[in-house]
Amino acid sequence: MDFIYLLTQLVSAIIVAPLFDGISRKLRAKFQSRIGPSIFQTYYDIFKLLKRGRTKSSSTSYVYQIAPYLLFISAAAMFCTLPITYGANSSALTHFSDIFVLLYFGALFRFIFIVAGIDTANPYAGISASREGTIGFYTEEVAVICLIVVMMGTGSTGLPFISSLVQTGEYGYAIPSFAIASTAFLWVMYVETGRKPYDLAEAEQELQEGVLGEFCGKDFAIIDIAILLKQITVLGFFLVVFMPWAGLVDNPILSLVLFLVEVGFLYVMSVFIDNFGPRFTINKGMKRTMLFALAISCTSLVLYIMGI
Amino acid sequence: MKCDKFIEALGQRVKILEVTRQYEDQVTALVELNDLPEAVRFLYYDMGGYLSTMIPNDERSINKHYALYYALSMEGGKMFEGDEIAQDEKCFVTVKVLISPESLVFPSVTPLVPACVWYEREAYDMFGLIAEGLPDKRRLVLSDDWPDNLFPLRKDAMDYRYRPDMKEHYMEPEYDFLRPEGSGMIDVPLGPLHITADEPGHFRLYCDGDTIIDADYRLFYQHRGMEKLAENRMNYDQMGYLAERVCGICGYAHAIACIEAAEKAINLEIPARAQAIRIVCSEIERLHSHLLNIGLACEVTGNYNAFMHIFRIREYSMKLAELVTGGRKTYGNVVMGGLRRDMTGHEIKESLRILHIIETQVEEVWDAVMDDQRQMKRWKGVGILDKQVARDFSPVGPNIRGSGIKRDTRYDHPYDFFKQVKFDVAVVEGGDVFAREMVRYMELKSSVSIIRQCFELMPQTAIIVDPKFHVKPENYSLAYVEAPRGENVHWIMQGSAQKVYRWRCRAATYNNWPSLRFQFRGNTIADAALIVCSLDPCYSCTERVTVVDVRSKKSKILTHNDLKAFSQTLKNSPMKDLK
Repeated sequence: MDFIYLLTQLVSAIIVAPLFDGISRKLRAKFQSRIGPSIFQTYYDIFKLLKRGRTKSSSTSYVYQIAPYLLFISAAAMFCTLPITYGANSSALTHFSDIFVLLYFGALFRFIFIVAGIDTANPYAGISASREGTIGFYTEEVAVICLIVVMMGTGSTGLPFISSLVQTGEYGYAIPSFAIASTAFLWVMYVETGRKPYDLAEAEQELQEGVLGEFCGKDFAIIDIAILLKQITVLGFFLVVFMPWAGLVDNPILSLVLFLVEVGFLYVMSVFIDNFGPRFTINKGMKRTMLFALAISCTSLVLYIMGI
Repeated sequence: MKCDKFIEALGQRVKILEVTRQYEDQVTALVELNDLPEAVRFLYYDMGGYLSTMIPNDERSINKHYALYYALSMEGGKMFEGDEIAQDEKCFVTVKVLISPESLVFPSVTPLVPACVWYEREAYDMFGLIAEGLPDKRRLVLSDDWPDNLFPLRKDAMDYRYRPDMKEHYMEPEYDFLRPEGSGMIDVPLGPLHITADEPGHFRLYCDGDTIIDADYRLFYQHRGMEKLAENRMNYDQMGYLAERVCGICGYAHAIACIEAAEKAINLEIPARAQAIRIVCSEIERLHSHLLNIGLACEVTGNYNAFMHIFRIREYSMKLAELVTGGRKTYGNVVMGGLRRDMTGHEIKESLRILHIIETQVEEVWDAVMDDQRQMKRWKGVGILDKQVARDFSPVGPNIRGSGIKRDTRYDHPYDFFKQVKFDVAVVEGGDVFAREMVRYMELKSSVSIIRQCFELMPQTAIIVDPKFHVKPENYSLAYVEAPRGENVHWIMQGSAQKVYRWRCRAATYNNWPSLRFQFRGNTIADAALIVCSLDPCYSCTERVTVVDVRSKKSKILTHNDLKAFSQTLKNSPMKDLK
């Protein structure tokens, strides 16, 4: 039964994710004094791309060919680790739903993205891959420091267990270190979604979409879905650890619906960040802003060590 | 008379064989071939000139020689306060040399005046004239697989419809990019087709990590053969329509420059109202071109929001163009002797209303962009054009004004109605992308004011004089217009039977490219597209499209008209007979 719920969780996320993107595109258009596309435009785009064939350059190897599927699988696996339709009482899945499992699937996703970029021998894809690696270098340590605070505080790395502790109020916002860690964590999770001003790896005008520029047709559609799923997952990661209120409802389907509404809200509201102002550069804006996030996460770690 | 002072000074340096006057502010001095580099250097650096254009010409049918004309705009070096020639002494001095068709060799000026480099490379491509001592002898204009002994602009070289066979793809010679020495560098090709450049251009960036160490570029991927087309085939009214097709943005500036070159050669004064409307049109072009460029400078850094809002304002300037010329683009309005369309009082009133909207909204959006610290950080200190480099390479337009050099054709050599209009030349120190965009913003404001003044001052006269004229063969003259990207210079030598003997059209961007290399150095890859964009390079469009059916591997070439007809009616699909 748990597996059926898990499947529902994954499938519904894949189905709904393009709608979030569509809504944010519409909202962005309104800010830019445009009419904008229909909110279902992302579905149309993906369907159109799925019908198209694939081309590949002569310099690529099998890595390039399997990369879209691997990206999709790792994003899907990342999403499945989020305990939305199952809780601490599900014996089969609790071991799988662990912070480290999620982090390593995330690292796998990034690794495949980088390898696929280097494999194409396209200089822009190469630069894009190297930037993706650098972004990981900036974000991951902030995320891990925040999570250390939570893991030490709750004494567990299991996501269902942490969620239930925060839900019941045994551990939560009454503790300053947790509250401060949540700020830094939301920040890096936004960076992980790869939206402006942090979309350095896909920078359209500089790198012609970098790694993505090498893919087309069906491959590109699959990568598109994988990236949407990853964006939902990282925002969901924040919700599950720091705001697991959707899990308060007993019914798995209902809590899934609540979760998706929350994620959708965060996703669409990000337009207020990504619509305004230019993209950061890797050695100036990116470095400077991530130092702030690092400082916040370190503050929360210090507070935890001090015992508050 | 104007220019005499410079000719006199030049005469003390080198031996002048002959002096001819083309117009009140244009004089040509014929010098001996070996004196050429010294003559140009003396006028450029010692007397304070900037290279406007250089025209190689095949004059074998006239005097059995090839000729080179180095046209210098005498306006002062402008490197510091007061380093400028008095307003009523500014003029154009052309240094002319004759080259015998047996030797085809001339001494290169480039080692002394770097600004000549592209012109001298082009002289070889088009005429086979070899610049002895030119440090960079690679091809510039023609493609690398062009036949060796075919020089298209020679009068006896080829019919203008002739197309040499193309080489197979794998046989194409590699272009020899100037690679800096050292190891550990990565080549990053920006182009030939890149998402931010609408026109093909290959910028090869040599990077260490994210930093650009050096760059080289190969342009001229598209050819329309316009200069060849004009020779001996078109009359002067047709020339204007051809010239405005040079560019999609500053077409009007080219049309005026071309027609005025012909008008100057026959000393034709056009009515004041026509002069005023010509200025209005070229300032409208400046409005929409600068709005386009400021918008793109935001878009290239990823700021779509600002880009979209600036384009919303740009739409008003297109509306303005519609009121003045009857079309959204300022095309098809200039003829010899004046204009084809006048403005009614109602149209002027409506234009003033739109000008007010543009003025207020530009200010609002610009303030918002300036308030955005992230945007400012992307613009400031990026792509710096050093003042001395600018002096050496004679760039034009906002590119040089952003480096603190007060160079504006409207101010240095006022033409048409500019003698009566007051405006400030926008000069900003710094030389970075921000300075160039700031210049553009200031010019937006001055353009609005110039258009208003024109409407106010323009008299109720006719807009065209009967262009009954008879051109004298072998007369030539230079006309100059400050287009949005800088000075456009057209040079026309008249031929027999009311036709053009040689037309040299130098668009603004031609003078801006050679110094780009210095602007790239030391910046990051992320800024490369922005630096190219801040130059406001000129884009032209291809006029045909090829349709290929992937399944049957058949292809078919559609003309511009076929495609347009299909887009309008959706009938007779070009794909039908492919299946």
